Amino acid sequence: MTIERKIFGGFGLAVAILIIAATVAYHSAVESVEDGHRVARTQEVLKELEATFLLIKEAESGHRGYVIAGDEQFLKTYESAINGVPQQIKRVRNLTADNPAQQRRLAILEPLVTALLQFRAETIKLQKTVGIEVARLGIRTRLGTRQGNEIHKVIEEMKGEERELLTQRTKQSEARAQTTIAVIIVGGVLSLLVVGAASVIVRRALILRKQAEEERARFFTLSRDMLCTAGFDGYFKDLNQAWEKTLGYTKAELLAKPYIEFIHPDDRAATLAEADKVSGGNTVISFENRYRCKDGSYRWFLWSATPVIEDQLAYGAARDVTERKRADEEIKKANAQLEAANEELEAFSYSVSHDLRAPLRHIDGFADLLGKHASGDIDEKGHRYLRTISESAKQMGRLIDDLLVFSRMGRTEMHGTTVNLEQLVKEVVSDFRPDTEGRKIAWTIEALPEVYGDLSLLRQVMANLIGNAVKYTSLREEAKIEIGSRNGASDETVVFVRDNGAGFDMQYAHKLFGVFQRLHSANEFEGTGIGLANVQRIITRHRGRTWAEGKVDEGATFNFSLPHAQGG
Amino acid sequence: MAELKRLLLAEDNLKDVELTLMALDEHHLANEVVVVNDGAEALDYLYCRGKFKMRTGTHPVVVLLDLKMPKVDGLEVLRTIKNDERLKAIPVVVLTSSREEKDLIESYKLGVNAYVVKPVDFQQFVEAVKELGAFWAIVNEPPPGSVGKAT
Repeated sequence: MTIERKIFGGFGLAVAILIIAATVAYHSAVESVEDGHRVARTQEVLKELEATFLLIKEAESGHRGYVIAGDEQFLKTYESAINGVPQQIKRVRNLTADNPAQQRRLAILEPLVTALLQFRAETIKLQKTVGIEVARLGIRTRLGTRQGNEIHKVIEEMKGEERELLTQRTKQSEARAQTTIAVIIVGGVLSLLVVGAASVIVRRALILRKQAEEERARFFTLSRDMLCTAGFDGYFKDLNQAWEKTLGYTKAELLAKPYIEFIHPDDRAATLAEADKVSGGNTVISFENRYRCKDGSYRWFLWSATPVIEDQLAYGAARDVTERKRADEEIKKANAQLEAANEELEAFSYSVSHDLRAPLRHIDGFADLLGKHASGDIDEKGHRYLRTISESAKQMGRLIDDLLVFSRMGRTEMHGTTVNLEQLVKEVVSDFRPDTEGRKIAWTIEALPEVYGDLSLLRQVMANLIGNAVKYTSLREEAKIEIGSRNGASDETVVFVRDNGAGFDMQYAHKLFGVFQRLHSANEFEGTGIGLANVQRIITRHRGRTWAEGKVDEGATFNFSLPHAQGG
Repeated sequence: MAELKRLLLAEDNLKDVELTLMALDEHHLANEVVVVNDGAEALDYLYCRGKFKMRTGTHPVVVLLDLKMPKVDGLEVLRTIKNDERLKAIPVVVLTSSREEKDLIESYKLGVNAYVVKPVDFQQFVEAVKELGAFWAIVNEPPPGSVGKAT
């Protein structure tokens, strides 16, 4: 359940409890008022009953006094009491209209009273007309006393009933009051609890929110990227400090003008188009534009932005990519230069291939023709000169060819495959059979692994190394050439070609793999000095290494490594 | 002027022309060669226009084509020949100093009939040209419409 729901539910529950408690209390109050009315009426009934009884008594004593003493004063008392009685009974009837039992008793009481009063009225009449003695007789009759007792009994019954009612109603009223108090207390306590719980949740939510806000503010301040909110009206609404640091304006300056005014004029159309996309509900990533700094320079910003449509607001984060752009530009420029250089190199090698070879062919050709044409006129020395000219031209032709192969080696595309090195070595060795005819060579070819690389380039490597071994053992009576492999230090295979040939001085080892570097003169061993340079170039392109060990007149070992991992 | 010569040699370098003719002469073919010095002339010859306006419309039995020539280069000449219904049957042999792979690939793509790299070694060069001339002018049956064999 979300916090909002919890809070909403809590307050709703509290309100419901309060409404229920209030309703119950209201009803109890209304009932209490009713109870009060009823109690009051009962008390009134009691009072009126008492008054009725007293009136009758008063009438009786007035009557007695008059009859016995014959005093007119008693007659007055009697008459005033007698006149009040019907009024008094009527009042009681009205007050007990809702109580049938009392009405019934009234119905008994009334004739009794009427009869008694009638009887008294007769005795009074007697006293007036006949004389006191007769009247005194009448008093003593049982009739009057019996009726008086009846009346007293009925009134006492009625009073008893009303007292009963009073007790009942008082109890009821008290009970109701207690219930009301209980409901109000329970309802109050319950809603206090619920409101308390809800406010704990609210407090916790507020704390979390405050923490989140503080966290956000901290990131906002710390960020090196420019963070902002911008209204769809074209103004920034909030900015972090990175803006001030990067552009040099104050926050107030940046908020004061539409942001488009800080953007490079050439980027404004594109920026507005992106802003439209964002206000249309799209998230923009990797849009670039330039912002003007206070010093008039411009910085490249890389933007990502996302809208909150209901707030008419875009959230944006921009990274200053000026340096990266500059670096990119430089790399592009360098690449263009490199490409130009490559093209030049290509053109150069093409012209070397085509144009430099032609004159050499002509030198050789015409020297040959001259030799034929003037053969009679030239002596042996002259012919030797011509031969030297031809030889030199051919040598230069070979050098050019080698150089072209070497230059091409760095440029041709590599086609990586799994190469069965053992089979490759056997093929290469058998290719050398014609050259080694008549020589005594002890070949040792160990089991060789499969490696990953360009087959034709690796063939050139093996041909070069094996060719060298064959060449530099040519002076040995029995040549020994050994080809093998071992696992290198880290994920690589090391292949070696060992011979017992002329060897070399280790102090020149670093020169072995250089272009046109030779450790032997052409008189000793033929060669242009390109072979090992090619080997190194090919192995380097395979991400491997080349090195050699040797000792003059004892032999040499040439090694190269190839990484195990596929690639390159 | 009816030039009933059977080989067209397109070569801008006069020394190469001399050496080539020398080599062809070993089979006595030198006199049967028309020499043009650039690609434009080669096309003029094949289309009987320009200074070859007056020649009869027969085709040479083979065109020996250098690649690097002024005005129109060899590959352009080759492309024109192989894209023209009337000329595409003429055998074309590239005879060049260039060993560049891209030239080789481009030539074969355009439909060259042979590609020969001129060796620096004169003896080898003579051998190569001699054999070329002998094969195309003597051994090979040229397509109909070419100049017939010399008698």
